[in-house]
Amino acid sequence: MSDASAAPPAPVQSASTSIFVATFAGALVATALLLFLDLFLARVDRRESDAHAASDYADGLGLLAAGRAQDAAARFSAAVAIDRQNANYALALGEALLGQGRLTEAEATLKALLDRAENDGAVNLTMAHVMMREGRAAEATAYFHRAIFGHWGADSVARRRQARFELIDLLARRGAASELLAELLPLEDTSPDSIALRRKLGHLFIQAGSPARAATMFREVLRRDSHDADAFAGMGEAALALGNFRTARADLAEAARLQPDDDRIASSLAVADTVLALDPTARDIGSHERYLRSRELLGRTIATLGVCAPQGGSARADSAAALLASTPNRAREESSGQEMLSLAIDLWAARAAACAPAGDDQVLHLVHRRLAQ
Amino acid sequence: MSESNSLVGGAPRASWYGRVVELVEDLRRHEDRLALLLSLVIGALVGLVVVAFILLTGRLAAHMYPSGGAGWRRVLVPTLGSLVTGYLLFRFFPDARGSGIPQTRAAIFIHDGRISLRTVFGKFLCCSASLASGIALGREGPSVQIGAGISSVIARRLGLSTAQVRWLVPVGASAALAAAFNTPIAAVLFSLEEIMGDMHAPILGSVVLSSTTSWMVLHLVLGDEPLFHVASYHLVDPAELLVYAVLGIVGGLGSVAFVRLLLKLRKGFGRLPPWTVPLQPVVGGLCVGILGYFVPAVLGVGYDHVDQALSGELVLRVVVLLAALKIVATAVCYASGNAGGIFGPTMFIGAMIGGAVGHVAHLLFPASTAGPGAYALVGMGTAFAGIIRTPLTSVIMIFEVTRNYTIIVPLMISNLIAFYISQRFQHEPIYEALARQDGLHLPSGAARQVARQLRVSTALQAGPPPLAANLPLAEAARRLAGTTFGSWPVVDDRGLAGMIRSSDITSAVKSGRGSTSVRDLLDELDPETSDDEAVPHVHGDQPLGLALTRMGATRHTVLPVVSRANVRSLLGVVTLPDILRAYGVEHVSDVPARTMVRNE
Repeated sequence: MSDASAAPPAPVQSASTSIFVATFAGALVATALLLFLDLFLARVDRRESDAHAASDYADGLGLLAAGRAQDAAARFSAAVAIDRQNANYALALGEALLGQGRLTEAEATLKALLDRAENDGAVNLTMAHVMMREGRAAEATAYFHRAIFGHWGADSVARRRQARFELIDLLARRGAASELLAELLPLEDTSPDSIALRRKLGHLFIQAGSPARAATMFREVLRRDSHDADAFAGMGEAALALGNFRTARADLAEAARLQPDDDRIASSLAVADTVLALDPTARDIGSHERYLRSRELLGRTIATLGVCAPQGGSARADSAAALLASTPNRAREESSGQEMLSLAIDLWAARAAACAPAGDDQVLHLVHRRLAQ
Repeated sequence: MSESNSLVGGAPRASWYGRVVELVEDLRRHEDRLALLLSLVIGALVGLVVVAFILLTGRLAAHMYPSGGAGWRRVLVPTLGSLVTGYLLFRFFPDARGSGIPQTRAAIFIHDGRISLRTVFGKFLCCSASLASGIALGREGPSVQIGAGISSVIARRLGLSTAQVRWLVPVGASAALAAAFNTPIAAVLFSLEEIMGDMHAPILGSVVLSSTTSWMVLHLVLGDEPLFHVASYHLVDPAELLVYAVLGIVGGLGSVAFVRLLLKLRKGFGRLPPWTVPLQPVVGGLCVGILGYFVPAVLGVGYDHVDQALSGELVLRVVVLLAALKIVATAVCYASGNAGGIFGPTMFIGAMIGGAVGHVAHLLFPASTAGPGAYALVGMGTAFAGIIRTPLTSVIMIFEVTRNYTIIVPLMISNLIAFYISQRFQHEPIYEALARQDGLHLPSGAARQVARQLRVSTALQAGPPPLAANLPLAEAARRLAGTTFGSWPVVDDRGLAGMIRSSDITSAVKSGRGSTSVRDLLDELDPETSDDEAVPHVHGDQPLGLALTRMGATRHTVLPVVSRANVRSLLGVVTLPDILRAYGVEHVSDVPARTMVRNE
């Protein structure tokens, strides 16, 4: 061993070996240097990219606030291209595209985001907005539900409630009473103690076909502010829906006194007056008055039915017309009035099956509801 | 004092040096160990260089195109970029032009694996500048040439043989592709399928090792970030395979259109006067700049937009527009002589074509088709199979990108259809056509496949009646008279006993040994004929080239073809003229005569 080390290698072999070793050593040194360079470059790249994306995102938010949705979308798109994993950037892009009316692109962007985080509340809420803009109400409702039950970061309670109210507005616009009521019920107890919110809920409960709950809401409002005209009006409308026409009139009259310039209240009061004048079940009227009201009710019911369904219930309509044409003597007024009332109820039921609910004669609607009770 | 120190330190230094020399010499004696070590070193080095290439290009591009930059910048930057790189390519780095794949193949098959350090440097510099300026080309092809070049430089500096240098070039190429695409298996396949054109190349081990090392380096530096972010797609309905078949057709036709346009434009640029060469890349730069002014997504490699297409975020009109514009932009950029590859653009074009087909399919059959993203994904592989013509690599590459098995079957169907259509309408693969335009006639994979398919059985004939081992040489000489066979089989009661040259029998008879038996002469000439393996022979299923090699080694112009079950069982013979005829060399009637003369 020592001999081998002592004796220098043959010159040719030594030269060749030196180059060989030097090349290998050079390659290893280059590898080490490149590793450091690459790690440095990667760090710089990540830092600059993140900063770049954040700057694009911030610029985009500014542009969006300034109403420049197109420019904002471009910035958000650039931020997303740099950092595709950042859900905030993609969500902002989706919102900007939505703001521009580029619904298909917004949908695609949000869908990709949902593929990664299907329970994200904010993304589902924005997707619901896209669906609403596209007129796809059923899908919008589904996305609203996912938003309500999805994951939210900070302030999750308020944001979930906000999502629910947006869904409620949608359902109210669609006239989906039972679905609306289902969404309102959880808010009945959990809503904060706000007069405005209670008032809003009261009106929504009326729309959802739950006037008793509406009355409770308005009563709570009045307990806090006994001069709240809107609450009195709401109480009146709830009472109308419940068939308590006298109470309704009193509440509406109070509302009109408190807020005499409000057309809506005046209109509701007029309805209450008409209903009171038409109601054949009122206790403080005589048999002749009851007969006259029954006759009036039957006539209005036939007229309404004739508008929306000319062929509907024609046999009963003929009987009703014959009954209206006859003039009974005083002794037969009570039985004739009862017969008219029964026919009016039957015709109204037939009308409900044949005609759309929209555009109902509100007075007739209220009186018939009272009769149905 | 100093003398004393040198004496004290001299012995250990000599000992240390001696050990190193011993180790190095031992390493150089064992090729397999050297190949193993070199594969690791090349894999790591190339991986790091490619990562640096990716990072530098990306950073540079980010500074060239800041967010919210003015529109004129999108016209000016690529134009100026191509002007500068065009001059550099013309003046200093002429071999760094274009993709890098044909150049790498030319290095292997024509230049003994030689790629200069200047070319490596030039490719790195020009491609970084070119791609960062927004030229619509890719970074993968250049990476391959850079990796192959580094491999070549190291191998030559180490003083390896020409064959070893040639073998190491694909090792570097594979390492580069693994890092550039983040697809180590596809990189191995590509090196074998496209670069070498031989899936059974003996360098497989080295290629795998370097590819893996490079991939590990990539992950070490950049983390486990996939090249594309893809949702988990799956086949919604078996009938959807028909839609994927349609995608194969559309992708195949799109591939043919792209390749033809590129080749035609390149041919056109080639006809321009030589003084225009340094300015030609500007045409590409200006073209992509103008397109980029209106549609910024056309600029650069465009992987961000591929990502968007894969997520199904791009709407139908956008993907159609981008597919068309990218085909034009890439064809003009490449044909005009800019530095950059077509791998990346191929993926881009494929994703957009796939996205378009997917959008239409989803519109027509929403319930039974996946979203457009799934089709964009398959479209990438389809375009790869149609343009690059490496169907196996394309399937594996997409699998590696997605890490999802369920999309593989539609991918295979679509790829094969695109591959077939591309073969049918564009006979010559793109890299071979590009090399041919440059006056390089590289061996095609198909040609080498045909050569490999030629078997001994192709040239098999009954041959001369064997000589009995106990036959006297005088009688044997009489039988040889008037025949052209240079060697004769000798048989005994066990079957084939060996091969004897006509010239040896004639010489023995002339020297008065006519009564000696053929067996005695055979034993005299080749004492080991009693051993089965010592008898020169070939089998019918062996490559015809092997027969040529054995003829050279044994100096027999006729070889016996024997059974694999019994080497002594003679099935026929192959002769040199028959082999040449099988290779298509005609008019060889005089070959045996000349061979015999030489043998004699």
